[in-house]
Amino acid sequence: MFRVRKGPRGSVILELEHEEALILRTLPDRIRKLLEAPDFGDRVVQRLFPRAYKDPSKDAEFRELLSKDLIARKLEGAAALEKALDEATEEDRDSVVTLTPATFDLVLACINDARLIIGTKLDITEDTWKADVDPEDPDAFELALLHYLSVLEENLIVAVGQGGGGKE
Amino acid sequence: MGYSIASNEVHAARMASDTRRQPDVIEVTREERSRDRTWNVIVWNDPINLMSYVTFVLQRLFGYSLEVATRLMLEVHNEGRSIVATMERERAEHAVARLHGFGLQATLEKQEV
Repeated sequence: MFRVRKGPRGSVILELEHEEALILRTLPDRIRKLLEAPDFGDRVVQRLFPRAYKDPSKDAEFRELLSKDLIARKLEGAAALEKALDEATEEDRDSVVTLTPATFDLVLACINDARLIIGTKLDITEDTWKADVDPEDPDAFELALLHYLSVLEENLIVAVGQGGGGKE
Repeated sequence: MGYSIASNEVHAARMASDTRRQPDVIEVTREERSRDRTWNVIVWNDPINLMSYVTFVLQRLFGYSLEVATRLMLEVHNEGRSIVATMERERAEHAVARLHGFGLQATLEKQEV
């Protein structure tokens, strides 16, 4: 299981086991695939592009203006996670990933995007979090991945601490 | 709609400084009113985003202390929504766009005056 600690110059160091790094490495492609030609009728895509206005015409105007930026931001996050994983140094069989203050927020948001995609697909409710993953469930792997990413995200946030860290 | 212009201090100040304009609130165009109004940025509860993540994002985007961000996050969690900031429309739209960038469900709406 991963370990998170503070590194030099405001960075956060994430030590991943080999298999964890492999799984995380699949996330950027997964996000990119969804954003290549986004189908705004799809509820997973809708979750990544929430409404800004109750009024549909104002909302359409907002989306027209800003959805390109939002897609760009999410692609930037996917690229940041990918780069951080590809530049990781190997120690035994662990990957040591450095998240600089400049990339921390992007990577965190990217991990969260992956959580939103999985969670929306699985119709997550507040109750889901209380239940254990049933290994017989056909969605067991995705559910376990969602739980894993949640613990990872939580630990990354704890590592930067109150208001500091990632951006200095 | 209940435009209570008198309670809008920004609007009053603009009116006072603009000598060309008749001091008659009726003359103010609809566009001008909407420009003067302030907008609420609202974050909505959702079952996927973590409480710690919502708190982190509110601190990051608005510079709130941990205490303030936590209070707002708990309001989102318990009440289903929270007004996390109030600002002019353009800035409110920018804030909503950045909240969407972090995956939070956020909307903006005119502040009731």
